[in-house]
Amino acid sequence: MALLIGGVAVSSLLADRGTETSSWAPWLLLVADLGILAVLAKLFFRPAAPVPAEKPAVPRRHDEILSLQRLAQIVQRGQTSTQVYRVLLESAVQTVRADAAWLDLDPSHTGIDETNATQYYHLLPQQADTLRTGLLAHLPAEGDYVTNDLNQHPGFVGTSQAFRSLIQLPIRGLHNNYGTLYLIKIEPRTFAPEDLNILQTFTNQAVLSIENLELMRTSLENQRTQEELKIASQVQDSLIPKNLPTDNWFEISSHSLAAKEVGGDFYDFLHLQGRRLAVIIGDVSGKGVTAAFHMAQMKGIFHSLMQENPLARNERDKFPVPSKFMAQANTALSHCLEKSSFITSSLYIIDYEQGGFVFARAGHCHTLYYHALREEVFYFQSAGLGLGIIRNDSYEKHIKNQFYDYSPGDVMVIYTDGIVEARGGDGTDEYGEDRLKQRLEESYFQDAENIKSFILDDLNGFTHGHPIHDDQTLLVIKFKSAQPLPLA
Amino acid sequence: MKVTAQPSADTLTLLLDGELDASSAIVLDTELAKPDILNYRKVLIDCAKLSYISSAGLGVFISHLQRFQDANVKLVFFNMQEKVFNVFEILGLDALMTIVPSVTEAEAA
Repeated sequence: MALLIGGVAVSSLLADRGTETSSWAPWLLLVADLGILAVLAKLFFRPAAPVPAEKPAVPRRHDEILSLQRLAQIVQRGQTSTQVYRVLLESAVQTVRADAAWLDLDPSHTGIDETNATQYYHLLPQQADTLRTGLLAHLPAEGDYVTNDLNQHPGFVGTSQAFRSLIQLPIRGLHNNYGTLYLIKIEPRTFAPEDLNILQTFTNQAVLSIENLELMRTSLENQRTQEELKIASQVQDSLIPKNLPTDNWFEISSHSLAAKEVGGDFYDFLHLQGRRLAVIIGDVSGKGVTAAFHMAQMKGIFHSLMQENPLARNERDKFPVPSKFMAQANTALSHCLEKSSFITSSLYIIDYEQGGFVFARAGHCHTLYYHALREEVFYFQSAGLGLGIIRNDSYEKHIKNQFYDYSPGDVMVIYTDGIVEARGGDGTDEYGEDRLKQRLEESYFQDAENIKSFILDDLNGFTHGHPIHDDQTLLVIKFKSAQPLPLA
Repeated sequence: MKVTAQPSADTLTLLLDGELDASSAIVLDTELAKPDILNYRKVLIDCAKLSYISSAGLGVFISHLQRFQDANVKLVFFNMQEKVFNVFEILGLDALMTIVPSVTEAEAA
C-alpha cells in the first residue's frame, strides 16, 4: 500500500507540477524510497515514445528524483544540518541548471554560526551582497519570487547586471523560517514558474530532514538527561545510611521511597561520644532535583554541627543540644534556600546510658510514641518552627527542647508527611495521623522491623492504585532492656 | 484553585477556593506579589473553601511574610478548616501568623 501511495504521489507531482506540494511532504520521507523505486520502474518500463529533443524530460526527472532521495537519506545516515543545506543547494542548482546560487541561513533557527550563515555556489560573497542589497530595497524579505530580468527590477534599473534571471525561495517550516535560497542565471527569461514548484519540493524535503535531525538531537538530549537523573538518584541513594546503628539497647528499622528519581526526604544517624546516638529526619519542601540538593546540604550541616567541640568546658556542651542545632542550621540555610522553600526537621539525641532522649521539632511531623508502662500510644505535642521561614536570630525563640525518659519496650515512630498525607480511596482521602496511631496500637509488641512492615503494608493497601505524590520516610525505633551483646 | 479579590477601603480580602498546591501556588503568588497590595492596611485570607494546602502553597505565604511585615500590612487568615489549620500548626506557622476563627475577629484584628 505504501509503495502504491508513494508511487502515485511522486509521479502525480512530476506529471502536474502546479499542484500544491506541501501537503504530502511530511510523509514523503517515509515512503520516498519506495515511491522513487516505483517511479523509476514506471519511467524505465514506459513504452518507447518520441521525446521532443528540446525537452529532455526523462533525464531531468531522473535527476530530480535522485536529488530528493539524497535529501531524504541524509537523516538516515546521521549527517548534520550543514550537509542538508549543502545538498539542497547543489540539488537546486543542478535541477534548474543555475549558473550560480547562494543560501542565506538564519543562525537563530539553524544552529549554524554567523560566520557560516551563507553558503555560495559559483559566486563571490561581494556579488551576493550587491544582489541582496538591490533586492531587499524593493522586495519583502520573505516570499517566493521569480524575476526574469534583473535589469528591469526597481533595485537594479539602469545597472547592467552580470546575472539577469533570479529565483528567491524561502526555506520555511511549520514554525520557523530557516533561511532563503537564491538561484541565478546569466541569461534573462530562463526560469519557468514550474521551476519554482520543483524547488519548493526540495526545500520542503530539506526542512523535513532538518526538523527530523532536530528531533533526533532532542531525543538524544532527553536520553542523556535521563541518564544523569539516574546517576543523581544513585548518588542520593548513597547519602541514605545503609547500615543502621545497632546496639543491644535499641532496634532501628527504616524505609524510604522517593516519589521521583530524586527526593527531598532525608534521615541519618551519628554515634556520639558516650553512649549517645543522634537521629535526624527531615523533609525539604518541593520535590525533584532542587529538593535533593537541599537534602544533601542538610546532611552536610548535620555532620558538621554534630562534631565534638574540643573547647567545651563540660560533657554537656560537647555537642549542640537539638534546639541550638536547629538555630545554627537555620542560619546556615538562610543564605542558600530560595525564599519560598523551607525544611522541616526533627533531631533526637538518645542517651541510652541514662535511658532518656532530648529532641527538638522544627516544623516536622509530630513524633508518634508508645509508652510501655502506661500502655498508651500518643503524639508528642510540641511547638517548633520549620527551618528557613524566619531568617534572622529571632528563630531561636521559636524552637524548644523536649526531654523524655524512656522505658524498655517503648516505641518511637518518626516519619515524613509523605506517609500521613498519602492519598487513597477516591484520591482525596489522606492516610492520616489517626490511622498511623491505630497501627502502632496493634503492633507495638513486635520488633522494630515488623512494626515497620505492618505499617507499610497497611499504607500500601490504603494507597493501592494511586501514584505516590510525595517522598515517604518511616523510621521505627524500639527501646529494649539491656541485654549482653552476643559473643562474636 | 480560584482566588477572588474583594477590595474595600483599607482592607483586601482574598477568597481561596480549592486546593493550594504547586500548580495553583503561582496564581496566589501573582496576587500577593502585586506592588499595590502593600497600600492596604490589612490583607484578609478567607480560607473557608480552601480544602488542601501543600508545602508549595505554604511557601507562597512564607515568601511574602517579611515583605508584608516590613510594609506594616497585617496578614490575617480566617475561616480555616481544621485539616488546613493542622498543616499551619505542625510547621509552627500558627505562632508566626494571625489565624482567627471568623471574619468578625479578622476585621477586628
